[in-house]
Amino acid sequence: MKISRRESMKYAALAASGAMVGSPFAPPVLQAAATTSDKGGPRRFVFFLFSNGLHPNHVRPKELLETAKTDKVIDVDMAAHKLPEWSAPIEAYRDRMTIIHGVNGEHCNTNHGSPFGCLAGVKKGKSPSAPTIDHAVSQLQPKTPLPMLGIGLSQLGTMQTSPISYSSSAAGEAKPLPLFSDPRMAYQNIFGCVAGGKSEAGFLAETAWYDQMLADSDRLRRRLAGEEAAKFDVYINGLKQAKQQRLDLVRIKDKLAKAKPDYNDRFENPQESGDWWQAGIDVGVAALQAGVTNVLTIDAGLSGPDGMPLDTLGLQGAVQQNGEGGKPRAINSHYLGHMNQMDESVWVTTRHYSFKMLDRVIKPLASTPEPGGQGSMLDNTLVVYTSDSGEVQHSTGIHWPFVLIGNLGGRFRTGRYIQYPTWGTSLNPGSGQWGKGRFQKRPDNGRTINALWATMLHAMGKPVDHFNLDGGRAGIDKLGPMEELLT
Amino acid sequence: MIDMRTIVCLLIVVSCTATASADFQQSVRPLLEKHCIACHGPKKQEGDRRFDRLTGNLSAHPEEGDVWAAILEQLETDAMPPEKQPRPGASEVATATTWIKENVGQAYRLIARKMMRPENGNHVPHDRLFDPKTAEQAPKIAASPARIWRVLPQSYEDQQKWWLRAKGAAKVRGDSVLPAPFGLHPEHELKNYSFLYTLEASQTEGLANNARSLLIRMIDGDPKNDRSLIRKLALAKEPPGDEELDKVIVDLYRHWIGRDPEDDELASKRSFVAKQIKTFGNREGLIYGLVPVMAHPEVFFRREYGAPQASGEPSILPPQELADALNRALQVRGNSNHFARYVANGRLDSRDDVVAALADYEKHRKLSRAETVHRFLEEYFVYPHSLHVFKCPDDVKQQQKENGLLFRGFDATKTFGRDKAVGETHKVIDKILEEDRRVLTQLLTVRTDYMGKSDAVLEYEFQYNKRKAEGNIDRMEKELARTGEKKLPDDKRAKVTQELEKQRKRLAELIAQRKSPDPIGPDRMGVLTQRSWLVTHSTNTENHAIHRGKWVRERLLGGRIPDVPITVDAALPEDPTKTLRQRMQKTRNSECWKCHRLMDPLGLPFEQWDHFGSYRETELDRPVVASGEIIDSGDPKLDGPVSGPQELVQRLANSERVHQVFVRYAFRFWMGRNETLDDSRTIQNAYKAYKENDGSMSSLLRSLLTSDAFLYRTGAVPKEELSDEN
Repeated sequence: MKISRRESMKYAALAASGAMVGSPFAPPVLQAAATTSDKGGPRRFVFFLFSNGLHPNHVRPKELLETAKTDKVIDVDMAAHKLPEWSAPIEAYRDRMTIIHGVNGEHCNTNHGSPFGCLAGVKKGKSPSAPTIDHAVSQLQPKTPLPMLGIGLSQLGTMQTSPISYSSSAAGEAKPLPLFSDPRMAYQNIFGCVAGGKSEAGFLAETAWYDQMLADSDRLRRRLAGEEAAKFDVYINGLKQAKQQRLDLVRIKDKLAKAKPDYNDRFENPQESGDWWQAGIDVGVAALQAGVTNVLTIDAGLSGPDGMPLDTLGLQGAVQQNGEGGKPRAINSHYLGHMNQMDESVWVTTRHYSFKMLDRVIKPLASTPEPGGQGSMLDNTLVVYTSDSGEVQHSTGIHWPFVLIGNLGGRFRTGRYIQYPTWGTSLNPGSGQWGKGRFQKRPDNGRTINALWATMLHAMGKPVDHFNLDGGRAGIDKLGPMEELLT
Repeated sequence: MIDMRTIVCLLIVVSCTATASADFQQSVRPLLEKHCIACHGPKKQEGDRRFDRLTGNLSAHPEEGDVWAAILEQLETDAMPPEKQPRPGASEVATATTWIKENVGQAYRLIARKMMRPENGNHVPHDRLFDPKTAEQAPKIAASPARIWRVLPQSYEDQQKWWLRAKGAAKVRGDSVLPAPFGLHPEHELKNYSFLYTLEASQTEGLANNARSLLIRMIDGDPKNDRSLIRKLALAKEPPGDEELDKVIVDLYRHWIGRDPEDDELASKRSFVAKQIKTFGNREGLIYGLVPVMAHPEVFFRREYGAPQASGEPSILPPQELADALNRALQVRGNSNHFARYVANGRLDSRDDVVAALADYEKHRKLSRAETVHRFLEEYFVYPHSLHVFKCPDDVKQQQKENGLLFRGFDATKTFGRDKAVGETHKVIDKILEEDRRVLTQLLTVRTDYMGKSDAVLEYEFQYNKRKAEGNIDRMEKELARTGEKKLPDDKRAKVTQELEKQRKRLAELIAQRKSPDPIGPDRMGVLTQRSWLVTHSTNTENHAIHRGKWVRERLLGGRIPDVPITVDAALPEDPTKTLRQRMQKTRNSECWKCHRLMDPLGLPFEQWDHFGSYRETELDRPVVASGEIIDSGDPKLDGPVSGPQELVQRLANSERVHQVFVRYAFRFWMGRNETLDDSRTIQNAYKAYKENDGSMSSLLRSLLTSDAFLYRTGAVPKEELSDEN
């Protein structure tokens, strides 16, 4: 190949700088931080989003109702308080959890759910506009075969026809990360190499896809030069990485074999949505146990109002007799969100179901000893439970509650109830209509969802000033983490 | 092993570093000392920059890269030294910039890359671009660089839909489309520049899994589907023969890539599928085997290589690539290949062939009505962004009351749909493109009906609903009388009448509350006064006169606004007793005004409308002031004060420069890159075609699609050199 002086200069400069500098294709934001990851072993994260809102009173002890009206941060020991009826299934973890109230995410437009908004602290959208926190913390982990794993749960029909979905997580602007909705596909992708029989052969066939695609890419690449070649190399490296991830899985075969979930009839012949909810969660937890990844995101409802497992909740064909407009109304997933979360008994059932699914994540982690360490895996994990829709379905996002379980190896305080001053009033705090509040200006010590995510990065040893509070969001919150959460 | 290339590079680096230092002292140091170091030296470090310690030796001081990039940019754009300071001579600047480009490669690459971004399109001086002498000096063939171009997310999604439908598998449960795991940048700029996009690991993985999902849908989605050969083979008891497999593979290549596989490709894919079928049986085997075809890199990256020769001369795109480029230039959807037949007939080999093919196309559809023209205007005016501007629900209710906006157009929850304001602008544009005369003038000045409903329209709608409701009752009565089964409940008619009375009352209240019976407001003209454009350039609670001015400066006048310096606090003071215009006095401070004079006076005339785009005569109980000024437009005839938005828009619409800038933007959109001075002839010809044909978008597009920049490529590696290397 001929080479001009000009090109020689270009290559020489490239060699001198070591890499493409300032490439628009470089992974965003936290790439540099990957090298400063914590050396103290894995610090696991589980993000559990349940759609249609989390009414603040569902996770607020009754005697603390009045704390909502505060202009100071209230920090209470949970030991003396019992959780309300909605959160009975997680009562056992009271001393290992922190409940946070009054976080503001109004800028995420939480109403009806906030795809790509909740975990990033930015306005929701069909396409993401910023990296999400699950991706950000995954970049600070020691190397694992998969940086993170996403499981997307919805109604059975939706999961069957859309085995892959995109709703909660993103590696950056316009870079959504896939969620597995079909647990069979998730199982085969991760545990295929030790599953034996067809699953194992399937895993190998999937790995061979990348050889085929690399060969096809080579035809294109050979004709390119300069910047265009560098751009295409990003794609080729991506293919190589995707293949490498699978080879990395083969390398931890023993661990996979030990942790793989029971591949039962629930996977192959689901009778109701709940079967695949359980199967998907089991695959996710097993991936954590096997060390496939340290970050798991479960988007239950796919960040929209239509993903509730009505059949499993016993609501298929149900009718609310005195529904909206005083008429009988058929309850579908969306309408379930319209119903008053405080008054309707279906919301006790629904919330209990979501917490039981959450417990399906926590329990196995609590009973598995930390590989090569002390205590259980849960001791080194932080489980974050919230709703991508804020406080209710028709929400403003100014009363966004969060439940944190676990302390990430002693970095988070536990057994606390923390109420931040809210950024607006609720017209009727006792009712289900939390969302109908009026937005006011930021109170002193009021914090946004972005500060919560920044706190997680602090706990990971990455002391950022803020998370995604730039551009139009700059200045809506003060800088720094939520100190009250950290030990 | 070290190859020849590395050795040559190393030698060059060593020799360059030796001479670089001496050149630096002669070529750059004097200029810095004379013009820069007073403000960026030991005494002062304006903008946190200090130049007296620069060495120009990046190997020893890699941290200097950013500083050199900044110096290069300031010199090339003539932004520094500040206006009132003595300026360096042209030869002085040329010597310095040449030295930087040659010796500080990193700085050159950084700046070159920055200038490639859509927001820096205007960095090429307008007057030079339209100077006939520049066109004369341009290369004989002003080609575009050879490249690969990632498809649009929407094209990929449509391609799925089309494939499922064509093969009889459209009726499947759930969403019919798997979203593309890649997107376009969300900034308010032209979006689809080829150099901006590639795919990363998680995205390629997602695309492979999408391919698998689609194959599963094809086989399992519709039990009655008998059109899909894949489904037929998957369900057959016998394994498929080679011929059937070839048919499936060729069919997938044609649909997803737009070409037939070459022989060795076909053989390789066939053997892969056959192997999977042997392991898994027909159904699973076809799924595993066909994923690499449907996730083939060419499904996502389109080739534009040309047919490069060893001489390095630009070459015309070969027919296959040309057909594909033309398709992408005219349609957004990835579902049909209009120009493929010309390839098959051997009629897409030259510029004349393209002219003929476009003429054929125009027999069915004007070029101005091509899908991409709408997309271009959406990106140019940015009006669909109004969907994403959050407005407080209480303010929306107030607007609905006062201005008769009887729709939820500004509802914060409406992220995914096209609301009425955007739809209305789309319709206005569509009408102008249908007429295809004086397109930009019309876009800027056309008087339009507006969807804020007038009293007459509201009354008409009520009467229509009344007739419909009463007609329904009549029909029901008649039908029940005919069958004689049962009677209409006695109170049914009364209930309908009661409901209509209620509606009538609500309507009367609404009309009484409105400020003006005609929500259009007087003198609304063109897209810039449409609600969608005004809301796009507004904040949650008020107008954004600065952004409006910036839009006019860049998109109509072809100007540039430097980035906001990091030391500047770019917030306006909050004071509910003052109008936006009064609060913007802050930008008149000397250090701000240097840039703000280029924006604010162009945006303030649009204060005639509030931040919902509703006409107003008063603001904070005082008459609205809507005057402004055009300053330093580059066309002296344009400059001067304007009394209000109408005068501003009218004057702009009459300016030749504004039309030329519009053509520049069109060039960028269809070529997927910024123009350079080399493209001068192409752009001048495009403008000429537009102007001489009474401002016809079709003529503009025809000129662009038959230009060197569209048809010719340069820089791909010729085949002979590939064989050398192998």
